[in-house]
Amino acid sequence: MRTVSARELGETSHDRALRAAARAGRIAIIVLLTCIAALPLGLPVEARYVLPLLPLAAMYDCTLRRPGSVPEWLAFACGLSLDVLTQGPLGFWAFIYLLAHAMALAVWPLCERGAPWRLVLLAATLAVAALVAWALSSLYRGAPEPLRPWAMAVAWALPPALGIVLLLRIVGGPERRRANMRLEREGWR
Amino acid sequence: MRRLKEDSINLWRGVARAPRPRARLALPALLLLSLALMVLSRLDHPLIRATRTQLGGALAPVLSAVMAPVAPLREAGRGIGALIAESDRLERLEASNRELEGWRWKAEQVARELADLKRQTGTVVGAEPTSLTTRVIADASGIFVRSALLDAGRDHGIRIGHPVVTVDGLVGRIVDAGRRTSSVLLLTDVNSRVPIVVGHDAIRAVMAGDNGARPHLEFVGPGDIGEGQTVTTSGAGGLFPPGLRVGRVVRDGPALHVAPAASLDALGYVRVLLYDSDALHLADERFAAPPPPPPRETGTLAQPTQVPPSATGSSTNVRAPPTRPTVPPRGAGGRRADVAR
Repeated sequence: MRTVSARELGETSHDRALRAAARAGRIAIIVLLTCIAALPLGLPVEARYVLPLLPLAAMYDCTLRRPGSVPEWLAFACGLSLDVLTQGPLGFWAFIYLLAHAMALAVWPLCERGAPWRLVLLAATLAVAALVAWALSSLYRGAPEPLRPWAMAVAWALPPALGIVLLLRIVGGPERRRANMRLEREGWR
Repeated sequence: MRRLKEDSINLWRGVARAPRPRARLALPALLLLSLALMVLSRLDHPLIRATRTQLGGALAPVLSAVMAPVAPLREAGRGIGALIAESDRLERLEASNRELEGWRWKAEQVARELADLKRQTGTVVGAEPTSLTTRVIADASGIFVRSALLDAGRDHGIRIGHPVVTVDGLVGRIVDAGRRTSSVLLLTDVNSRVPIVVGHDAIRAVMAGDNGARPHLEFVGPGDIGEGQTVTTSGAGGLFPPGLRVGRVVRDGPALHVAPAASLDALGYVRVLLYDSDALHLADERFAAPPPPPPRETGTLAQPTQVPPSATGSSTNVRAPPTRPTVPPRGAGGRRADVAR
C-alpha cells in the first residue's frame, strides 16, 4: 500500500499562509501569556503561582497537538524572561517550561485516545510541573516550602488552561482541517 | 495540485498518523543550561546579576507596550469592583469623615503649637529629599521575592537604597538600579528590614518581611504596643527618612505584625524619594553623588510645617518633598532622559 502525503500532492499558497498564521498565532498567545504572568495586574499574591502555569499549559497543548510547533528555544526564552521579570533565580521557569515540553513529547501517543484523555494529561502535567517547581524552589531555598499554594495554583489554573486550549484550537482550526491528510490506495477497481 | 500519475486506484482520506516525535538534542542541552543558571543564581554570581539587569532593561519596552492595553482593563476592573462596594464604602467614609474633621481641628492646633515652639527653639530641619514618580512595569511578587520593576533607573537619578512610596505609604527600597529600570524590594520580602517606631510613645522596633502579606516586628523596645497603632519609619540607619507612614499594627496571637498602608499587590505608580544620605554609600557601591547640602536653619519659619497628605506620617516634622515630573511611559512620545532634576 502506498501512502501519499498532502504535501506530496501539492500545497497551495493559501494552505501555506494558513499554516504560517496559525503558527504565529500560537507563538503570540504563548508570549502574551508570559508577559501577563509578569505584569502588575493588581492580583493577590496567590495569583503569582497560577499565572506562570498558563503559558506552560499553552506550550504543552501546542506541542501535544503539533510536535515542533513550539521550539525548545521558545520555551526556554519565555521561562528565562519570566525569571528576569519576576526577579526569581534564572533558569527556574525555563526548566519548568522545558520539562512541560518534554512531557508533551513523552505522553504524545496517549493523546490519540480522545479529548477526556487530553484533559487528564493536561491536569497531570500541571500537577507534575507544580510539584517539580515546589521541589526546585525548596531545594533553592534550602528548606521545604509550603506545598499548599502550589496545589491551589494547579486547581485555579485548570479552568483558564482549558480556556487557553480552546483558544488554541480556534487559532489552529483552519490549519488542522487541511493538515495531516492521508491518502491511501485501497485497491484496484 | 500535481496529478497522480497512477490511474485506476481508489484513494481514501484518513487521519494521519505521524511518527512519534522525538526530543531533539536542544532539549536536554537547554534543560542542563537552565539548571546551571539556577546554580549560578544561587551562588549570586556577578555574571547572573549583570545578565539580569541587561535583560530587564531589554524587556522593559516590551512590557511597557503590553501594559498599554492592559492598564485600561485593570482600571475598568478596579472601577467595577469599586462600584460594587460603593454603598458600604459610602457609609464608612461618612463616619470616617466626621471623625477626621475632629482630628483635623486637633492637628491644626498641634501644628500651630509646633511651629511656635520651633520658632522659639530654633529647630534645625534636615535637607529635603526630592522625588521621582514612575510606573511599575512588572510585578515580581512571586515565589522567591516580593519586588517590583520600575520604569526608571540610574539615568533618572535613582540609586540603590532609595526609598519608594505611594500616596498611601512606604512600599520598599531600591535594591537594583539599571540604566533605565530599577527593582524595588517590597516591605513584605523576606530580606526586608525597616527600622520603625510605633504609636505615640515612639516604641522602636525593626519590621521584618517574611514573604507573607504582613511583615512582623522584631527587636521591639520597652512599652506596650496595641493593635491599630500607627507605624512609621524611625530614620535609624539612615536609609529611610524618619516619619514615612508604613502601616498599622496587627496582632496575630502573641506575634505583632504590620498591615502595610500601601497596597503592595496593586502598585501602579510609585514615588522614589531621592533621599541621599551617608548610608547610601554603603548600600550602593557605585554611588558617587556629591555630599548632601548642609542643613538649613529654620528658626525663622513663619508658617507651620506642612505635613504632606501622602506617605509622610503625621507625627513628624518631615516636610513635603518637592516632586519631580512623572517619568512618561515609553512610547508616549517623549524621551525620559529630560526629567528635570
